[in-house]
Amino acid sequence: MQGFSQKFPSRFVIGLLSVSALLWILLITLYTTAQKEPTEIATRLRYADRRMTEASGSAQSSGSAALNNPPIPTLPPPAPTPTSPPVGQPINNPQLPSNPTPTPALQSGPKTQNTGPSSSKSSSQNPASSGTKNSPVPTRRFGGSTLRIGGLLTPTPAPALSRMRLAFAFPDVSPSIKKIERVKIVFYRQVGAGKWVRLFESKGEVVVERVKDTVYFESSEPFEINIRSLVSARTAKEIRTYGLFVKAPHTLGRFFTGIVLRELKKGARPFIIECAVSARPSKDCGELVTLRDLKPLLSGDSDGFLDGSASYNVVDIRDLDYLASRFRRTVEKGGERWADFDLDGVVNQFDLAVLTKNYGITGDRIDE
Amino acid sequence: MDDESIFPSWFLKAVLVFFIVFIIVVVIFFIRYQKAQSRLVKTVSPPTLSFGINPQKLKKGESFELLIQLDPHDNEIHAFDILIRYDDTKVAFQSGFDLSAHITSSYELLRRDDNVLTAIDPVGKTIHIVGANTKAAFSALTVIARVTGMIKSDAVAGLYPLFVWDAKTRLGDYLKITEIEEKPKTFTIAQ
Repeated sequence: MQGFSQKFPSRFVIGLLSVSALLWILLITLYTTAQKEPTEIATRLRYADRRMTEASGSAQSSGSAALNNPPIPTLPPPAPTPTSPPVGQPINNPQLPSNPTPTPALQSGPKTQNTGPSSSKSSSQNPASSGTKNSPVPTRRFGGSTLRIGGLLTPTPAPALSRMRLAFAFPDVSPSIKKIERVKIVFYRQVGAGKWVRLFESKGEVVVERVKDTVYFESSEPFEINIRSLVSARTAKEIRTYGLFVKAPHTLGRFFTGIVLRELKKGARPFIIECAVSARPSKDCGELVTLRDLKPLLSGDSDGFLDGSASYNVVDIRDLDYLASRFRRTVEKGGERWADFDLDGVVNQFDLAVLTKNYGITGDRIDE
Repeated sequence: MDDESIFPSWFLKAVLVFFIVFIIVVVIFFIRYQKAQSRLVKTVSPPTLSFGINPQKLKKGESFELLIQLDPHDNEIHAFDILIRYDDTKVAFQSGFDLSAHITSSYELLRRDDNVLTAIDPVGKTIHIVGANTKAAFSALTVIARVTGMIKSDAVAGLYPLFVWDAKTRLGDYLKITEIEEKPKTFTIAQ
């Protein structure tokens, strides 16, 4: 035993221990580095991670204020009501809050006051789901009924309002689905022959509900559009025609033109532009009524609202590839929603049949 | 110099064992690291498409089977949209019934009544095949589809590019493909 100790003097042992400690530290550092996802793998894409990143980035960039408008003067933020129904739930109770607060309008305001729903922050919710949590939002009595649209509530500076109800055809959605959330609407103004300028958009906050057993889904409550935000103050009193682009996360986009929006005269009673199915249509609806059946929102676009994607607004191989990668899986809160084209909660043969039917079809493009 | 160790013998043995174990762990780690690095390099290679044919030597008036082959080279590919142009002076498909029946696959093929998807277009002289692997990504060289046809009886013997990939062919998530061919593959028609 003494011989063994003599073979290894103290300095050697101390040196050995020191080197071992250093090498262990190096090993642990290299191991943690190797665990990181390689960025050089450009072609081996993981759809879930990538689409989650893109979708969450898109949702985050839109923020809780889902609409983008030219800046306009706004009133100070109102006090929120103590309770409010979740996003997507129509307000059936016409009772008023004790302290009336400014009207919600389809426009953006200071982000601090937009109590947009949590669904706007998360791209992972199924569009067919309901009952998402929402912060209290301001409401206002107007002719005896409260108005809101899916949680997009910001105060409006002046009563220069048009209000409208919309309806669209979704022929590929499963009959069991009664509600579609996160429908995106973008308003355009015509500036020349076939030329349009984008005014503002909703980033997937519009909620529509099925009309009985039809393929039509309509907004349950009318929403307001502040004309002043659409045109300059000088031309606010003019009557102009507008275009409306609509798209759901799983569908192609459609563009409807010939929509007339009028500023209300002072003291005039507000009216609703009825473009829904369950009411007599207004002549100001343009193609929203006349071409509703000829411009259905066909399913099959897995790119959602990622308009930077080469496959955006077209049903093609990229959508088929994504569907195949998610086949026979239940839709999770994390990105698979774009393959569930009939919104039944599962990616299966029915979604493949929808994609086959619409393969090669491109949605409406707008010459901006 | 004091050559005697102040450490007890058992401690010295423990240190030696510790060091030997450490060396073994390091060696194993580096082997795995090198394997991961080599895999990293492999995935950069784009997928390839190629033709196969049965029989190898084609004869006038006789049928053949064209194989569409895909090698993903570790790319994640679930779907394909293949467009092939064929030489209609030498290749024929039996008419009188649905020409798309000439196209078969062990994977899901998209077919539609308008004969635009998986279909043979005798006017445009194209073979269009759209399909997907719904079970898993393609992992190795695979025959993704087969097309049966016939060499015309009046075809002249020789070496011909009977089938050519069209530039509209797509794989997966718009992956770049090699073998969309600068030099079309030639097929032999025997006397």
